[in-house]
Amino acid sequence: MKLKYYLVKLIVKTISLYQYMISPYLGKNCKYYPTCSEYAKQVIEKKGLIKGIPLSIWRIIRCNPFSHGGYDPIK
Amino acid sequence: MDKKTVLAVVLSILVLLVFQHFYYPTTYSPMVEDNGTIPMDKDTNVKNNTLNSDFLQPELQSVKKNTSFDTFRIDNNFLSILFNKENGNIHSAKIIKYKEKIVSDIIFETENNDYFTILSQGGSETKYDIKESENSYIIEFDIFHNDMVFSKIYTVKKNSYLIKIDYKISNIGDKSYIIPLEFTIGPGLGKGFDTGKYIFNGPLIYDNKKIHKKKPAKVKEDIVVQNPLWIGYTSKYFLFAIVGTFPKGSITKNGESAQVKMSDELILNPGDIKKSTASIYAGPKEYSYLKSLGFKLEKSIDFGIFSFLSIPFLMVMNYFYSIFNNFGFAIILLTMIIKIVTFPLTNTSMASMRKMQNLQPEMKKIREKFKGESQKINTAIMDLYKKNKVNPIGGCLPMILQIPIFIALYKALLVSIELKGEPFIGWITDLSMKDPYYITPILMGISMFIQQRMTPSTGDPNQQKIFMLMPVIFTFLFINFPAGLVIYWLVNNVLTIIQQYFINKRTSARQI
Repeated sequence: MKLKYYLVKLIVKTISLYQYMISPYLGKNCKYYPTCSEYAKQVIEKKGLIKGIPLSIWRIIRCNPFSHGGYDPIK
Repeated sequence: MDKKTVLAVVLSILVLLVFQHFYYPTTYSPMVEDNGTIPMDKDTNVKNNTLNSDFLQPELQSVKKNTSFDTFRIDNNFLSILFNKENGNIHSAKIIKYKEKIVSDIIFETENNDYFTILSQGGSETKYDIKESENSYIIEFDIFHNDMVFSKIYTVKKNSYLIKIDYKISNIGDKSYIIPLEFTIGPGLGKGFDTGKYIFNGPLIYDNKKIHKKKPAKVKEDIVVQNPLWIGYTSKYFLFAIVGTFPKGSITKNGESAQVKMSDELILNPGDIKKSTASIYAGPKEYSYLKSLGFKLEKSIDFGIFSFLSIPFLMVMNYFYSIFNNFGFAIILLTMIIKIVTFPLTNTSMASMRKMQNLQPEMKKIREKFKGESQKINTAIMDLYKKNKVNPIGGCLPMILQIPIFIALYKALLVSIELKGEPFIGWITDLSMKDPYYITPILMGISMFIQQRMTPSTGDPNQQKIFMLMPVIFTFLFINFPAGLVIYWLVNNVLTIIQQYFINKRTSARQI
């Protein structure tokens, strides 16, 4: 349980670091609000790793040139 | 600087250090040991068709104190092979030439033993014979042991890294025997190899499905593979391998290192003769050459998980190399092609970035208006996007898809021997080595800095500071990288700058 908590924390911190340091360099590519990285952070914190990671991956897959994007919060 | 900034700086330095630790290519300085020479019987030295001046000079070889091996030497145009007179094993194999370039002191050898051994039973008497034909040397050994005659015939072609072995075991007695037959390589690689921490050096087995490998020092239990196609010992650029038909392959611990073996058990009734053929490869890991041999030895080149991209990249570079005869230009041309192919993806995202920046003031207004009500902010922003049609066309997926491209090219440039010793222009005399004057990494840092100035920035001043650090961090990250890789990154940046310049011009023109 403890390990899981730290793992979630580590992943969320890593995403934050990406958002702070790398993401601005890549430009704004995301079609959604909240952005894919923000979504991943929130969904992993809220639903845990087992549900959160697949949901985050699915979100990135949806964020492609053929999708419409838009407001897509965590359910 | 606030806490967050400090944290970011500390973390980035940490990343840099860790990265350097794993990726820093350690250069190997060949050791010359001074003790002794291998006793050679001059009469049995076979003359190379291109007579080397050092041919009759005793070889500088490391021979441990109490061991001496009775060997003779066969030189073809690429290899210098020492055969053990007593048992017909290959004592060592030295690579003397790669692509018309003389390479120095790359020797497959092991301490206190022969590098490649064919073990059945020890011989009590050995006869050997050397014949030279126009294209090859044929070395025949006959090893007698009680009721067994074991003959090995090596065919060393003059223009090849491949050595053929025809071996035959005959039972001349009147009893049946079970003969264990084993082909062994190692332990260890030998001398003069490029050994980076990151690049795998060690034993491998390929069974037509996947590569089985393990770092020599980490082998504890035997790794057994059924029906291996080949076994070998690899460095970054060179491979010593045996191709043969054996039911079992294994990697076994040997001292601090490991050996790799192919083994079989033969049942020989009186009068039985068992014959078979195997091939030895001692040479460079050049993809197209290995592929042309047809033994799937090219699987020994570790292109990583994106090999399906790395290999075509390498093929394209080889094609350009065949035209321009310069690998540096080949890298530049490939970078340009990749840029053109991925242009539609990056173009839209960069253009929308510009437009987004133009919307910044309105976004700020919305944020102030609905302060604390994130739900309302979100919908307002999405409306703003829709109204201005700025929803970036690319999305996150195309961005992520570019990562494999980068990794694949990185790997192709890192592991390919094709770059070794290939000059670019001026001061860069070897694209596989670091830039000796650090000019390209510094230019790369500058290009990154320019690139940043051109891309729209966010308002956060702390983030701005971190941003300024990025080119510096990257310069240090790339400082010891192979020059070929740095050139790729530099050209890629320059092309991005050009692209950005036109996008900026276009978007601002439309505004007016």
